[in-house]
Amino acid sequence: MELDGTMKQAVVGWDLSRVVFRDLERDYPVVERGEGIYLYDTKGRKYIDGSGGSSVVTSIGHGNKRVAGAMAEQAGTIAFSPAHCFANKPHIELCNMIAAIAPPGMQHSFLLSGGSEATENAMKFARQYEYERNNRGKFTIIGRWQGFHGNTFGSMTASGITYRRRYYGPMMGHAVKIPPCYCYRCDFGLTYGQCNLECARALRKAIRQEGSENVLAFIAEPVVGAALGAVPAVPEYFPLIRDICDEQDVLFIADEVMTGFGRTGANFGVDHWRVVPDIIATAKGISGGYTPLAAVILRDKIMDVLREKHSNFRGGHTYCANPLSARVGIEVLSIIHEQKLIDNSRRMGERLLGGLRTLLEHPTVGDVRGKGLMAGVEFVRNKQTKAPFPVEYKFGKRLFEEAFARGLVVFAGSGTVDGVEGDHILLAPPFIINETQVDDLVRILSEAIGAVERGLPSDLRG
Amino acid sequence: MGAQVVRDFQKKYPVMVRGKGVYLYDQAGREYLDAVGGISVVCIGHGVPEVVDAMRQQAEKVAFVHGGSFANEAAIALCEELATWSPAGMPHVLLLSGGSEATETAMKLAHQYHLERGKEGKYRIISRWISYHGNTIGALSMSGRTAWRREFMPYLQNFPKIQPPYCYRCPYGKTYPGCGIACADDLERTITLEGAESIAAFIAEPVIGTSAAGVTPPPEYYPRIREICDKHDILFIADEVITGVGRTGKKFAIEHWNVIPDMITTAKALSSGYAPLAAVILHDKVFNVIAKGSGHMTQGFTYSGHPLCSAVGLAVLKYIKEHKLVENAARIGKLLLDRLGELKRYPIVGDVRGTGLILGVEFVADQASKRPLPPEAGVTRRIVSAMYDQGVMVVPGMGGMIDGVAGDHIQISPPYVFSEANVDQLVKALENAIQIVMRDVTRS
Repeated sequence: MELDGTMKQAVVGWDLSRVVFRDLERDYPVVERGEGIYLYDTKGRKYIDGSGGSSVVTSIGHGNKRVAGAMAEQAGTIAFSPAHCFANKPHIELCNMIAAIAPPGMQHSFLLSGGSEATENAMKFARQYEYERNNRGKFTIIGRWQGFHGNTFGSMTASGITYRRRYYGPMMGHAVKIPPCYCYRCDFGLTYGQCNLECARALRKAIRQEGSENVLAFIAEPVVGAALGAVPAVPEYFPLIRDICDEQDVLFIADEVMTGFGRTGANFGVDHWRVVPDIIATAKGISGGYTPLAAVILRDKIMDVLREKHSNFRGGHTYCANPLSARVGIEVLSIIHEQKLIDNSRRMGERLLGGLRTLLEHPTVGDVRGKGLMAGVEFVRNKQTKAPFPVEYKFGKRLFEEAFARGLVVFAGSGTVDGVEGDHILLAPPFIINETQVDDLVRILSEAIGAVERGLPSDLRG
Repeated sequence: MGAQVVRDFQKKYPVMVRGKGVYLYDQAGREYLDAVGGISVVCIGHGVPEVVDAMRQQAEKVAFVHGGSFANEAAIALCEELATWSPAGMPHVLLLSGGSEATETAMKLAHQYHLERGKEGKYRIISRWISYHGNTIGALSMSGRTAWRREFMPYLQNFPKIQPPYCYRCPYGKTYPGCGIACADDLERTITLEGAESIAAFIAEPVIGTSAAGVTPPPEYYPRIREICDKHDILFIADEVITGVGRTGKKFAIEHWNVIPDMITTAKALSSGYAPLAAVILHDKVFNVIAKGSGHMTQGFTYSGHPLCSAVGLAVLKYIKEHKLVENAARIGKLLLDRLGELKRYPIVGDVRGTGLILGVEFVADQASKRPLPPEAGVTRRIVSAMYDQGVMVVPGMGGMIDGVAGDHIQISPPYVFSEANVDQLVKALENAIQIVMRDVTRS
C-alpha cells in the first residue's frame, strides 16, 4: 500500500499511540508481510506462524497470490450487495461447497463475518426453531467450563472462560456450565477407561435439573481451543452427548469456529466422532484469515420447520453473505481441496504431535495433546502432582516472549486448571507446513521452554 | 440456491453480478440505481479501482495477523487517519469488523471505565425506543426494536429505554420549540428513577437509522444530553455506525450539535462495504482511565485490526478526502431533502426528514391526523417494490416506528457520489411508486 507523505512519516516514526492494543503495556513489533508459514516484521525479522495467525485462523498460509487476485477481481466486480433484495453468485456457490463437505443432512448455510456472530446466530436459529415448534420455554444454553464461544454477550454467556467473563458479570445472561472432557485433570478424579464417562453424563443431569422444557441447546467445541489448548474429547464422548440430546429433546450445537474446514485432519471436528450435530458454527479456516467470514450450518429439520412456519430468520448482520468474503471462501476451500491440504493437516499433525511428545522430557511440560494441526502443551511446576505455576509468575507469557524472540509465534493461554491457574500454549500452523518446518517449530519451542526453565527461581523448580 | 439460507424464505432473490459507481447489475443484465448504498454502507460507489488495488497489494503482503502478537502497518495508518477525522480529544481507535462488535465493545468499555474507577455497580446502558444498535445479544439488549427482540427476550438484559426525539410524533404530544426538549429530560428522569449508581452509559444514534430513517433531533437535544450525562457521571456513546465517516455531510453526525461524546462507534461507510470493518473511537477521558488502570482490554475479536480490512478502510478514507465526498454528501443531501419535500403534495406522504444522505419518507393514511396506514396494507413493501420495478433500490424502513407495531416508511441513503441526475431518477421513481400505490390501495 502506498501511503501519502504525512501518513508515511507517521508510520515510519512508529507512533502507535492512536492504536488501541489489547495489552496496553506490550511493545508490538509491526508486521510487514507474510509468505507461506512465515511472517516478517518491519525490521526484517522472520517468524514461523505457529498458531495460524496466532489464533487458529490461517489455513492456506500467508500472501497467497491466487486469493489476492480473486479478491481484487471480486472487489472490482461487486464487493457489497444489498442482501435484503439480491442474492449473489459467490454466496450461492460457497453455500453449495459447504453443503458438499458438511455432515450428512446438513445442507443449509447462513454466512456471517466472525466466530462470535456464528455462535450467536446458531443460538438464534435454535431458539427460533423451538419457538416455532411452540416450545417457547426453551431458552437455556448449556455450555462447558473452559469452553470459549466468542466475545459478544450472547456467546460469552455460553462460554466458560473465566478471565474474559470477569469484568462483565452483571451483564451476562443465564447459562449452565458442565465440566469439560479433560482427562489430564478429570473433574471427577477418575481415569479414562474406568470413568463411565461421567463428564458426558453430567449433561443429562444438568438438563434434568434445569428441566428439559427450559433447555434449548448444548454447545461444545469438539477439540477445546483457546481456553484449554487443543483438548480433544475421548472417542465415546460425542456419541453419548448426541444420545443424551436426542433423549432430552435438546439441540446439539458444535462450535467448529477453530476446528472446521480441515484443521483437525477431517472436514469438521465432529467427523472424528461420526456424530451429526443439529447446528455447526464455524469461521476462521473458511477464509484462512484473508477476510472476516463465518457460517452457521443447519440440519434439514431446522430449515424444514422455519420454512413450514414462514418464519424468516431474525438474526443476521450487515456483512452477511457479502460477495467479497464469499469469493475468498470459495478460493480458500478450492485451494484446500485441490492441494489435498486436509491430508497434509492430518499427516503433519501426527508429526507435530510426535515431536511435541519429545518435549515431555522437559521438567515443566505436563501434557501434550491435539488433533490434526491443532496441538496443545500444558505446563506444570511439578509433574507428579500436576501443580501449576503461580498466576503472578505468568509462565505462559514468558514462554510466549521467549518463543517470539526466537522467531516462533505461539498462542499462550491461562486458566487451564480452574479458570484462574494453569498455563498452556496452542499450536496451529498453516496446513501447508512441511516436515522440516514442523521439526523447526518443535526445536525452537524446545529451546524457548529451556530458556524459561533456566530462568525459574529456585522455589519454583520441581 | 438450494444450500443457501436467505433472510426471507418466501422471496425469490435476483442474483447480482456486478456494480459500478451508483449502479448494480443483475444476472439478466438489468440495471438498478443503488439509492441505499447496499444498506447505508456503500459511500464511494461500487467497483472503485483504487480500493481494489489497495486490497490486492495488502492481500499479497499480509492479509491477516492476530492483534495479540503483532501490530501492522495498515491498522496503524488507519488509526492515525481516523484520529484526524474524530472530534477533539478523541484520538484513540480500536478496530473491529462490524457495527454489532463495535457497540458491544463500547458497552464493555463503558463498564470497564467505571469498574477501574471503583464504581463496579455501573454496568447498565440506557438507550431509546425506535433505535437499533446491532443484533448480537448485548447490542440487541440496547436496541429499541420491538420486532427483532420478541423471540430472544429471555436473553436480553434489563436495560432501560427512553422515548425518542421524534418530533413528527412527539411521544409527549408537544410541539417544538415549545416542548422544552422533554424527550431529553426523559433521560434524567430515567436515571433518577433507576439510580445513577447502576448506569454506565447512554447510547444513541445522532440521526436515527433504519428504525425511523432520517429522524434528526432539534439543536438543543444533544447539548442537553451531554449535560445530563456529565451531571450523573454517565458516559455518552454516539452510535455512528450509519452516520459516521461523512454520511450526514459532516465527518461525524454529532458535530452538527457541537457535542463531544465519550465514545463513537462507527462502521459501514468506513470501508464502503469493500470489507467488514468497524471502529470504536475513545475520548482521552476513557482511554486514560483504562491505560493507567489495568492497562488491559479484553474486548478483542479474531479480526480486530485486520490488515486487509484496514488497508481497505484507509483507501476509502483517502478517496473520500480526495474527491471531497463529505461535502458532496452535504450538498446532494440538501437537494434530495428539498426534492423529497415536494412529494408532500401526495396525501400519503406524512413526513420527509433527514440530514445529509440519510433520509426517510414516512407514509400516513391522513396528513392532518397523521393516522398510520393499516400494517396489513403493506404500503412500505408496495412502495419499495414499485420503485424496484423501475430499477431503483431503497430500503423498507423497519415497521413499527410509531409504537413498535404500526408505521410505514422508507429509507434513502445513497452513496456519497450521487449526482443531480441520480436525484432526479430517484425522486421520479418514488413519485411514480406513490401514484401506483395510492391507486392500488384505494382500489382494494
